[in-house]
Amino acid sequence: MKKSTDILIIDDEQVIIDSVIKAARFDNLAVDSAMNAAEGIKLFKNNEYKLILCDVMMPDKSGFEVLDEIHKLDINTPFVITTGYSTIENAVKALQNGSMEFLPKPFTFDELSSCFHRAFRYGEILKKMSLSVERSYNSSIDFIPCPANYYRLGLYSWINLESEGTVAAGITDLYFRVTNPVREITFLNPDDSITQGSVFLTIITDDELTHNLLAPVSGKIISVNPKLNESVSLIEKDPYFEGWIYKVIPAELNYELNNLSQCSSDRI
Amino acid sequence: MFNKISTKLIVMVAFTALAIIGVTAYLSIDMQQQAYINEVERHGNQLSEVIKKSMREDMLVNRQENIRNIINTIKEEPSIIQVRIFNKEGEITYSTHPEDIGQNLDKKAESCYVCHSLDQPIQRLETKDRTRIYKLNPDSSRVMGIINPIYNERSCWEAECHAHFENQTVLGVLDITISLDSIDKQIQKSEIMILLLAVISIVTLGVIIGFFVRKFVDKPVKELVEATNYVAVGKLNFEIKPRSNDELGKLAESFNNMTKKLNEMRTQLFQSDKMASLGQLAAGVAHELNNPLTGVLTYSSFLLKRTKDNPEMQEDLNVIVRETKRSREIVKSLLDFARQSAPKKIKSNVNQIIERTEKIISNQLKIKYVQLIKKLSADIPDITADPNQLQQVFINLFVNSIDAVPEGNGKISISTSLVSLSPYGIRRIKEAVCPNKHSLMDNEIKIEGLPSIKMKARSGGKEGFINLDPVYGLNRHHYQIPFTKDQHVELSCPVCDVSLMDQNSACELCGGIVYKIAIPGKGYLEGCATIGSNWQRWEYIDKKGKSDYINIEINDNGSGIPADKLDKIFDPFFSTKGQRGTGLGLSVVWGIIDNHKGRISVESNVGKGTKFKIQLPVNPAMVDE
Repeated sequence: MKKSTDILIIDDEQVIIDSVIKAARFDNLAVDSAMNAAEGIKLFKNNEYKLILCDVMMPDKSGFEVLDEIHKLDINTPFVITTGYSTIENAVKALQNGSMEFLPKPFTFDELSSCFHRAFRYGEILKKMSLSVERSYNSSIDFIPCPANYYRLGLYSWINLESEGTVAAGITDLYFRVTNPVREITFLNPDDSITQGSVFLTIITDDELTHNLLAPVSGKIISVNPKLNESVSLIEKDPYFEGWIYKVIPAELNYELNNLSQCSSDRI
Repeated sequence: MFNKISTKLIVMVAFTALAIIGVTAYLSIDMQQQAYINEVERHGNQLSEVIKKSMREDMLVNRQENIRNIINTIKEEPSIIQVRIFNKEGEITYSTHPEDIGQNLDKKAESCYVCHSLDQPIQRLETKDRTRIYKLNPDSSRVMGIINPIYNERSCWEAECHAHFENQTVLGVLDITISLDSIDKQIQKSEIMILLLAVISIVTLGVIIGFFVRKFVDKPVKELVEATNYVAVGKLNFEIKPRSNDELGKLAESFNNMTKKLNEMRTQLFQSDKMASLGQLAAGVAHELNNPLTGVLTYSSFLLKRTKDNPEMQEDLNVIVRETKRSREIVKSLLDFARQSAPKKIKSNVNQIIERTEKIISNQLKIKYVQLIKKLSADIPDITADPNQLQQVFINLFVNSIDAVPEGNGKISISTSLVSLSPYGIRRIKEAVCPNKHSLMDNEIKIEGLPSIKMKARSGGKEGFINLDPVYGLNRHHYQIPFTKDQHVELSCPVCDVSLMDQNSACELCGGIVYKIAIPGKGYLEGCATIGSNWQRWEYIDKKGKSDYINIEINDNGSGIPADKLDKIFDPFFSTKGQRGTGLGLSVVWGIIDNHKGRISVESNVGKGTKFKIQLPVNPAMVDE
């Protein structure tokens, strides 16, 4: 029987490990730590975790290689890449490679803590899903996946190519399933430029936590959904259609589509 | 000394002058001498005839005393050396030197030789043949002998003395010898004169040529040599003052032009290097800084959470959290600065971006009463560019100009136009393969930040690697082992050693052997395989012709930038504004233009103003792919 622990942190910096342990202990969570990739891989091979936090630049292997290892072993644990080299390229690369989130250093206590909770909830959803597949019955729909013709960056943001050449962008239903209800949203303005992988929306949930969401494409915002002004909750009720957030003129769509996943591939 | 142009020129001119004067002098002395001799000859003949005629009567009546008297009288003339009459047998019958009388002359004697050189004596002697020039003895001066045959005539054989018979043709010969001493002296004098003239003209020519060569060749050449030395030690902003409109003036002008271009190139190159290393530095710093910052931020925000009931502590902790977050933003902007490498490009119109920039800076223009003159060409095409980054470029340049121009009288002009530039010296080779499809690209050795083309080279028993400049036509090749100039090398693939030489072609410049490597999908690159040769041909790209660039010029009438600072202005953290500037503005500009595959250059005159020139490719893919 595998030992079950809450969090595994793989980082070659002691202070990062200490910070994670500190935040975890505040929430009464147990933490295992590894100072290099090999040690980390050994740990998650032999134990079960609810979340694996992994640095990118380590002496023996990169965090991306560790992520590949997880996929090879078919381990279903939420994996979050964190790095001091917090460029948007790294963010996009992490999400594209199946990291649940990208956590740029330096992070605050709250950012870390909210990341834990999103990961745990996502882990539960994953577990339920695999159970329902095993037992071949549809227990209950935990979240609505994005429509088949949509594309998504990581798990949380989607785009839909529109016939006029613009794209609509929004947030997936899954995101609202792993966070508390939305209290406030800060939008960008029309004419603002966005870059794939940079923050394009900030959501504050009712637990006082701030969540930054990353833009799925680069381009120029031409409009912000006016209906969201009337009711913010529309974004949660109908995230894929009426709840769209921005219309964007994409800058490098053909190139950036390579970094996105097609939602049709999510169907089981 | 003998290697100097002036010396060589003087020696050459002196020789030429010497040759010309020599030939002229020789000919003229010769002619003069001929003329003198002719005159003396005519004179001598006349004299001889006169003597003969004056003695005719005395001869006929055989008045020997009278004849002797006449001869003695003639003898007093100083130029006449001797007068002799000899009969047909060669016996001297009369002479100015009485001791000679009665002597017999041999037929080989000077006086007889003319007629008696042949077996049969000549009966009639032409006037011109009667004279000859000879020396009485080897060290005496030259003399002219004139012989005048005395012919038989009726009165001679009918005379009472019956000394001669009717069947004789020549009765005797009158021989006069005239000294040529005075003529020889004349000729010698003119020879000396001409020689003197030659020496004087050569010296004069030498001095004049020397002076002018020194003034028009030596000095400018010396300046050029000095200038090249300055350039050689890296002082690329050295300029030669224009002096003249001749070839050397033109050379100086093109030299200045060359150093200017070199300087621009070097600036671009330095910046490429610097930005690359600065990027790495920034990334490294960011990474290293972010880890400790994580510690500070998590611990302080954790404390903030735990001390909700302690407002005083909360206040302090808030400061820590706030400031750490600020540090986080600074590091983030440092990373953003480093990752200028990937601008997000969309179809943009440079004119529109400029118009938009004008709105943003309109307040600053108004405050300083600066006049902005726009000359935007309406027919420039849209380009694929990051409008925000380009806007940043214009903002930074405008703000600098506004700071530099005089208040109330400031003028800034910006113009856009479409220009065509040739790919030679601009296009980059991104992939090259050998005939067996091995890639020749080398990421280890980069030339101006770009992966080079690696080939194995063999020459004269040596073997090593040569890395070709990946920019077509620039030829800044990297040699891993030393080769000497003009050496031919055999090039081959570093992986499979297959030859890369092309036997069917020859260098267009030197006719030497050439290499030919395939550029996948883009034809072949040919080049001269002789070390030091700069010939390259990429027909595929050449055929595509020139590429279009948008040329943007920003001019101001500001204070200008001193020449010694001009090459530093694109350096990060270099500022002329002291505390007011960060020194990052122009390096950001440079980075952005570089990322758009463009070029930026600056010209400035202190007190007059500054001009920035930007060239952006209309089709960056064409420039890059």
